[in-house]
Amino acid sequence: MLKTSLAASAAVAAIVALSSPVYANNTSATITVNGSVGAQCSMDLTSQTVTIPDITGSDGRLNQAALNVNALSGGGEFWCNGANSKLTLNATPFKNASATPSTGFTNVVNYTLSGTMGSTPVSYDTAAVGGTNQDYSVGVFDSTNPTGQISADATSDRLIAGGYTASLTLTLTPGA
Amino acid sequence: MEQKLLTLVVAGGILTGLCAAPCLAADSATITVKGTVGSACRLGDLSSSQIDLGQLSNNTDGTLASISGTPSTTITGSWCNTGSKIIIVASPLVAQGFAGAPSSGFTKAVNYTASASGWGSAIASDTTLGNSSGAESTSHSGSQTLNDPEANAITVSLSSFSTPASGDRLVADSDYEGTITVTLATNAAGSP
Repeated sequence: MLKTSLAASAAVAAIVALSSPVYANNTSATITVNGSVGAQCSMDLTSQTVTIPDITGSDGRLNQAALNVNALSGGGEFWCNGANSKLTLNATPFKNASATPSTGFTNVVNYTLSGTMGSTPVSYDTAAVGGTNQDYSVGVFDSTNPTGQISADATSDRLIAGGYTASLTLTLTPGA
Repeated sequence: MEQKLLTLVVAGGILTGLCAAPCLAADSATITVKGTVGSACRLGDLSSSQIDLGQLSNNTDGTLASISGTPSTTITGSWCNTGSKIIIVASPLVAQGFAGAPSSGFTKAVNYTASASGWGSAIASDTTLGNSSGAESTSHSGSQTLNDPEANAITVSLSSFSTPASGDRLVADSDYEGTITVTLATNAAGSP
């Protein structure tokens, strides 16, 4: 009788073990949240004309100081949000296109445009690369009223009278 | 004297004949059957394990866009056979491909509040605390307890999107990613 009882207990224990809850007491789920941000650039400046008074001295030669102006003065905010954003700069020398210089005179004044866009130094020398596109990696930046300082190259020639015009084009290209 | 003896023998014969088979007294036994039910919770199935918010930035000024609607997903078939605790932990959306810290005025993180509703009347919610680099300096979570057994669907929804500093622009990245973990656990203290 005792033997039978032990056998029955063992059987019940086996059944209980088989029917115990198979669920974990703690369960969790993980949800992934995604989004994206496209590359953008923007600048407040669309066009600007900087007028410079007579750039010659009393001897008819270039007054370098007269040309030392900030071409981007009051240009507002410039920004890009992408790590691979770039600034493309294209500048032409000051030129009196209607004149043909004779010996000892010139109708062209070269200059260097320099400044900082975000943390990227920018320098463009019209004597070396004038009229061509130069790229600068600017990355993620936000600059308000950045400086684009013009510094005229020295010349011993006298300048032919007339109007002188230079053109500066800045292009910001977004890149993530 | 002899007659009496015979009578006893006959009586003994009758008794012997009635109990030819084993003859036992009436008896009974009671068997007790016992079982147990363990405390258990089970979180059901997600309708979607991913919530895609799409473009996060405003196309005009690069700041955080207004996220339309209430992004959500549903967990169906959850149950607990005892008191329970629902816990939610969220992490900020962080640009996965952008290396290093962003420049001043920019952020690579978007914070939000994740809420789990439908498990009882209370809502468990957690708000992320990422800085502009996406790091969080303190741990956080949200939870609610329920005293009674429950079987219900749980809705996980996102709201209150923000940047670490108001007006931050978001750095460009094709993959901003965060996670929300929902955990359902038995809560012995609340068991009935």
